[in-house]
Amino acid sequence: MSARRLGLVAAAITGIVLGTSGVALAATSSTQGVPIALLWTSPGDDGDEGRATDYDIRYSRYPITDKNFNLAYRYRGAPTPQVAGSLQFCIISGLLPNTDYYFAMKSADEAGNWSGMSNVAVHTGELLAAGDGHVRLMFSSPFPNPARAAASFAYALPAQGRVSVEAFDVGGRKVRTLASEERPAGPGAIVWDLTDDAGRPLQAGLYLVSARLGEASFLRRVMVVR
Amino acid sequence: MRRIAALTIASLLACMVDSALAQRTAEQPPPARPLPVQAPLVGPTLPDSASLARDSSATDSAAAARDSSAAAAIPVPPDYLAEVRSNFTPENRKYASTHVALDFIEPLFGLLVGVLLLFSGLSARMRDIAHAFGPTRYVRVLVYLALYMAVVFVLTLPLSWYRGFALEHQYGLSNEGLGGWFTDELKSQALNLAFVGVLPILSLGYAAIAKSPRRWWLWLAAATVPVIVIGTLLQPILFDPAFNKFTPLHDQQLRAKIVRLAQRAGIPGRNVYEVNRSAQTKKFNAYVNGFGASQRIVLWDTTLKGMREDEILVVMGHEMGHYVLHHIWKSMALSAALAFALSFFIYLSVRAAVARFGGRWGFREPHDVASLPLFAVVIGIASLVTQPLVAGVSRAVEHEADMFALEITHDNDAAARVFIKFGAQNKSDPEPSELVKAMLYDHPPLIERVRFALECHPWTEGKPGRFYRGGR
Repeated sequence: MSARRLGLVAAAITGIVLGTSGVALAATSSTQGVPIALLWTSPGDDGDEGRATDYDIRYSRYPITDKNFNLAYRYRGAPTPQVAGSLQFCIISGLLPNTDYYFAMKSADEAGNWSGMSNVAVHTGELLAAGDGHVRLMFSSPFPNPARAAASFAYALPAQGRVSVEAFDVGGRKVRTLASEERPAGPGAIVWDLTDDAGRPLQAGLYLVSARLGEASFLRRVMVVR
Repeated sequence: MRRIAALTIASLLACMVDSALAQRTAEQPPPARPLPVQAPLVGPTLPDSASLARDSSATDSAAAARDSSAAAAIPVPPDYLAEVRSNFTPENRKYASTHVALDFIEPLFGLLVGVLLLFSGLSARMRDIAHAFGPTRYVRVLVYLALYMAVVFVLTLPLSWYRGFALEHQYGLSNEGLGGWFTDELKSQALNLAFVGVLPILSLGYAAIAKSPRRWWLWLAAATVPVIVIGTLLQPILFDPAFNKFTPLHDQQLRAKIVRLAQRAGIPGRNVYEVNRSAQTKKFNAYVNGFGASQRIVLWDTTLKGMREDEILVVMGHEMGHYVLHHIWKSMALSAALAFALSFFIYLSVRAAVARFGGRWGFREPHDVASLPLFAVVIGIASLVTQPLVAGVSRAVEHEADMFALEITHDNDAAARVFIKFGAQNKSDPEPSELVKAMLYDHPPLIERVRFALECHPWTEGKPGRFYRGGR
């Protein structure tokens, strides 16, 4: 058993309200430093079956290996493991800007047996800010893509401004408003649980995400698979 | 009039309380001097986080690289707990053990000196000499005090020299020559004499005892408050500059970052000074002292030279925590509370001792200035008794400042490195016994501070800070 396909999805997330299903439902503003969204596919209790009991998520400013895993900082807000194959994520807030971070995790079964270490995800601080310390305007590609349970976007605002993010199907019909509010300067993130505004799961297919950050516009494509 | 007089005797109590709360690093708590006139005039300075000692490799890397990116060169997460333990070499252990022994011996020796002055009749003879200088209480008290301080200075000089000069040189921690050290000692004596004797604090105290034989303890306690306040106010602007040069921070880039940190903490960043402590020592430290307009944060130049920028910001965060959390005021309040709690004990003890031994000592009343060694002994005993309480409160306060530093900087790695460097450079015992910790440690032991630095990161879960709730 092991935590699989650990991937660093977003360079910056500004506070996330997590739903009970482990999927982000909404975003809130925060000035608590640089947040990171860490996404992974939940492992099973026995191979790809069942579900794990616990996660041990670590982060460090230094490369993590299996030998020094326990020396890295332990993130205490790990979510409850979901059924094997589910997309899960956590938000690690308040990290230092312009700083590289390494992330890794292990999972445990109900008997307390811990898995080996996952792959190591690396976040480079340069994504968040220019060398002069000022935040660079950005809106990332979705992660993962194709997406089965959720897709996440990172963004960064050089100054406080309105963030408007909407998802459309290929017919141009708006299916979901992901954000429409004033947000503070700095990094942030949008996590889309791949449902429409009524909370219904979307059908498989191609969707377009239009983002407007202040005066700048971005268009991203998300492939939803079921 | 009685109140005015009592203001002065309170200086005795103030000195006692000050000596308990004044700047003390975990490694080198100042001697619990039992003789009030010897007590440091420093106010309730809240020392840094510091107690430290850095190993040479840490120092070298610090000097070489001040940008945080240098940390990325380290291939794996450092084992900070193992590092703080490994830095405590046999040599450092020997130094720390000697200090602990001195911390216990010096107060007891001070008590012995006081008792010796009383039973030898020397105190009474000094009183007689002082009386020959005139009929006024002020002159008599001033002359007696000068004689008393001179005698105590000579008797305690071997211990003071060993602790303050010989031991520091033996372990390569001092930059100060014997002449400079001795001059500083004399300056300290002169300032004590000026503050307690030339200013009529002590003579007013004795006047209060004479005029209010049954209630002087109450006046003494009440008068302690303004004495502490004045002492704390004057320390950074009058007393400290007598020993070192204080200047605004030179490094403008660092200063700008400290000012930004101070702005986030909501305090005036202009009150950040560096002091040339390298003239005396190789140790690291920083502290906040004074209050109101005189309140300031002071960084030793040794700290500036031996630490990286991110580490200095953690140190500053710690000191700003003292500032923001009003630890100076709280320390003064604790001092006042202790003064009231102990003054009655002092009153009863002095009264009983004079009744029992006054004849042998050559005086019959507590308001006889020859009783000064008796006050010193009683206050010294009270200080020893209350030391665990005072040290415990101080450790709690320091822990709060550590937490504030972490919450405002979010830099666990830098905080851990700060404590490791403090421990290595100051040759501190990171894991003292519970007894030593309870009696002498006014900062949490370094192993606790490093462990806390590694475990305290509630912000990663989006939780608000306990002491700092602003943004990073």
